[in-house]
Amino acid sequence: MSTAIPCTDCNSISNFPSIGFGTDSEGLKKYYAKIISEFRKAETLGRIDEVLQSLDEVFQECSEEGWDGYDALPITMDAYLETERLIKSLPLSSFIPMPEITPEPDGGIGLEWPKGKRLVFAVSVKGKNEIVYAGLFGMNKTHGIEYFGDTLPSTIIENLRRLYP
Amino acid sequence: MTQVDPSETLSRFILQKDWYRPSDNSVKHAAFMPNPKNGETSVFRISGISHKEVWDIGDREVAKIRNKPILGRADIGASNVMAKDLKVLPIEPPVRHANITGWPEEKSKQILIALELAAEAHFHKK
Repeated sequence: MSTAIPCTDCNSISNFPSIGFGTDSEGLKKYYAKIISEFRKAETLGRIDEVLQSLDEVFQECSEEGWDGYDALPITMDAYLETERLIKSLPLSSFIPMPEITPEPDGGIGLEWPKGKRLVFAVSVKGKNEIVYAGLFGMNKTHGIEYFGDTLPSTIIENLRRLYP
Repeated sequence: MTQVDPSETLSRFILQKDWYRPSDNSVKHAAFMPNPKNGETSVFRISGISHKEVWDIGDREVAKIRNKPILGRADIGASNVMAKDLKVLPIEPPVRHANITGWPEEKSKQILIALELAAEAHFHKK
């Protein structure tokens, strides 16, 4: 029988051991960092593909009025395209997990990052170049609206950093 | 039709699969967002009745009429709703039906309140 024990002095796969010195060691360190960076990028891209697929499904399923069983408005193509743009604007070297897609009754599309009880951040778009956001950070709360131009507004990234420091 | 007491429990029937998380049986904010047609959120008053009776109400008064199956329900205390400056108004028929009213105009405020309600609700999968 074997017993699993936590490794408390092991290096993370993303940390190059700092026991070497000299130019060869420096070169290896840079090479290792590049491999890890590419690995993370591929992993993140895979997760983006999954979220985009789930966005496609939501758009298909919620394109007719009343899709929620009540009186929800259809998700519009503008909302779909803006959500796609928002997801692709998320930082690739990601400190944040990919969001959950949730259709909203007014025809908007919400993205939610749930981290725990009263630890959640949500944004919503409707194809109007605006990001409506709200978040619960324990006892602290925030909400507002930001113009969504060419890049993701810094307020959105800052709020995600509050959740994923 | 009696006024809703803060001690009552309200149930929001869920017919959309992207409004809850099967992984931890929690509910998302969109489940509580107001209906765009009337600005209210439809709920049922379920205090004093069994789980079976609650599901029966959902099947009879929501699923059958909307021609969509009930996937679950989010139960929340009326006091939680009222604490957010919202009102719960009995609107019958159907029996036990009520609407959450008084939502703010600003959507960001609506989402914030809906996030809080979702965090305080108990989801029951059908």
